[in-house]
Amino acid sequence: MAEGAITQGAIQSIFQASGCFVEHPILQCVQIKTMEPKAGEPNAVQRFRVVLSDIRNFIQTMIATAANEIVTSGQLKKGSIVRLLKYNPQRVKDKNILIIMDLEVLTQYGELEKIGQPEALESKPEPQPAAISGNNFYGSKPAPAPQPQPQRSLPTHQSNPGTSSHPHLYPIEGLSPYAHKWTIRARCTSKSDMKEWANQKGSGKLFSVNLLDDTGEIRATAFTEVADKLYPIFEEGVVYYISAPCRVTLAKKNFSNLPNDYELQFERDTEVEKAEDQENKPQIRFNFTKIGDLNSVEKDTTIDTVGILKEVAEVTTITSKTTNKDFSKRELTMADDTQTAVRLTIWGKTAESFEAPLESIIAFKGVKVSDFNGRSLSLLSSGSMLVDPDIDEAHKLRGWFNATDQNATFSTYQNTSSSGGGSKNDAKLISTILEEETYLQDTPSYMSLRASVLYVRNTTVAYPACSTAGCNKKVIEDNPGSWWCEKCQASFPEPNWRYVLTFNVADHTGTMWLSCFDEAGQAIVGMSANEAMKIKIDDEENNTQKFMDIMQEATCKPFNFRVRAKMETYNETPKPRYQVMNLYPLNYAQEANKLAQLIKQYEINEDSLFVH
Amino acid sequence: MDHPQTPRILAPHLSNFQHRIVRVLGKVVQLRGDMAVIDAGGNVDVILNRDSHLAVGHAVEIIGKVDQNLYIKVQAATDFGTGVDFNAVNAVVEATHRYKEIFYDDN
Repeated sequence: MAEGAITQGAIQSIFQASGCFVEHPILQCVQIKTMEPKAGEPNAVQRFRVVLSDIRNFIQTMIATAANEIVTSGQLKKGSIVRLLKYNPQRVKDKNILIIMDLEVLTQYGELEKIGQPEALESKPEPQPAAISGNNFYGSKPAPAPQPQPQRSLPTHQSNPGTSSHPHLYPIEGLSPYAHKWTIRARCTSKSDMKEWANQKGSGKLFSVNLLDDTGEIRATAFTEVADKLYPIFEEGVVYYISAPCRVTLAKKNFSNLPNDYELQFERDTEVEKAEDQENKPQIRFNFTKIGDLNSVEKDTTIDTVGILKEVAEVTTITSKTTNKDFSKRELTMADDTQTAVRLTIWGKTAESFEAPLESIIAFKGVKVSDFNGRSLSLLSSGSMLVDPDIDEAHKLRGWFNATDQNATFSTYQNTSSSGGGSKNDAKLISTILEEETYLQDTPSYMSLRASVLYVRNTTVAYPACSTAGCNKKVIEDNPGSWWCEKCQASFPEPNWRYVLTFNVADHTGTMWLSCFDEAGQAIVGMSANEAMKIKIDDEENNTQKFMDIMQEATCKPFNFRVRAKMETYNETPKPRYQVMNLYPLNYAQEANKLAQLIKQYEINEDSLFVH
Repeated sequence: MDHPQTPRILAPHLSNFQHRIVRVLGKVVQLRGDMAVIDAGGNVDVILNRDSHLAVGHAVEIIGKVDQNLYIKVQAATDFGTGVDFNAVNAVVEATHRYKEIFYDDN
């Protein structure tokens, strides 16, 4: 009976261009759901969601608050037949819905069972059967674990690109503390172990995951009970839907390697569901920095990098001085097509189980840059490593490596002999050093310098030193042929002469005076100080110029100097002193590459100024 | 003695420098009697003279004239041994051509 009254096909026609073929269609109400207002919402009123059927189709509708009474009074019941008096069709996130402003219940029909087998209006079938589909509460589908949230599928303008059954699907990029109701669909790219701690405030535990989607990555942490609940759910490589409530807070950059300003904190009510559709897994995204560019990266920044594995060291264990815990570490040397190589340290299990063969391409995500030994890298615990990954950058490197000379030398960020304690390593020009003289303070500053020796002051080149190994104290010739050392309280027939040279060097920007001690002196003069002094003494006796010749020979040699600059006061006038800590012969290939890079920089600037 | 200009080139530049005297630094790939093949950004055939003694695998600097079919007739050859970084060499050549006003006349 009622069947005849219902306007079959009305629903479909409502959404056609011509509009419904009757003015007031009659439909059956097959479901009513109450939506509690969310606390803090501007209009905290109950709303009712009603599913109406015209036997052929069913459709979701919202009762406008003005018409709420029809439900609250008990008039409208599940199964009732209603006539729509005033309504508005809307399309919300590819779903057609109706807003009912006015309707009347045709009580003469009473409440009936659902008539017929109405289908959803959309050609798109209802979302995956087993997945949580928050929207679709029609039918007797039991909602498996996490309950669908009370939806606010009002026909307000939604800016969320929700393509699946989850409304409010946000891109990770769009997450902020101001987003209220959001869902993200992301892949868990890494899961940390459960970490426990105990301090004065008490004990606790946490674990964190990194979540990735097509727009970005974000880190999420769960504490104590929430951690217990969620730890077994998360698995690396699986895609999840995560929905609010979940706190979005400013990221603690020192714990995370991800470039997101925010991070998530899971709460007790946060929903985490494994996504049914595991396709379209967002790929791990890398933002590679070339090894050659590392010098321009600030220390302590987190970067990604990819390179070819040139060297692998053995696993070593070191004990942390602070926590007395053992750490395993392994040093790798990576190189890439910027002709530069760098040390990269990996830790823990990654270090112990490292097996990649030499010359494989390895990509690293989450690597910290430090200025130890110039520039070096360390894989963070939250970082990851992929061997021979199937990404363009890796293929490019493979191609480059196969084409170039396998034994090509790479310039490294290391000093060829390790400088004490990772001091700064800027290669400076003489003009820059002289300019910066005024900035010198009492604490010494270190720099590198490539220059050629111009002139060696030959007045005093060496001092007599104690012959005892390790003691370099000046000895005094108290009696001829007997040299006395105060420290060792011993006398020696011959002193051990040690260089204390003052010499002038130049590069293309200027000249400056440097001073150095024995080791460097030997490299410059080409013989030991003892021999040099012997020749000097011979000269005096035989009236020869051999010593002068030797000093001459020492000139015109280029070196890489490691210089310490300090301000010292002589007779009340402050004067900068430049002392050579170490000197190295030039590696011409390396220097040539450095210069080539410099020249390239001119090209970049040129292009920006001129149009060729 | 007046030394002619000898711009540095690599294999791809050969066609631009026909009938000119050039300088090429490359790695000796093959020796074939009085001809040799060196690799300088590509293979270059060189016609040796009696004084040139090349060793395979060594770097060599050839000064010679580029002929019609892009061979180089060697006028002088200097062995540079094995410690040459060819990336640096290529960078030099590229810089030369980028700023050719400094290095040679291009009439």
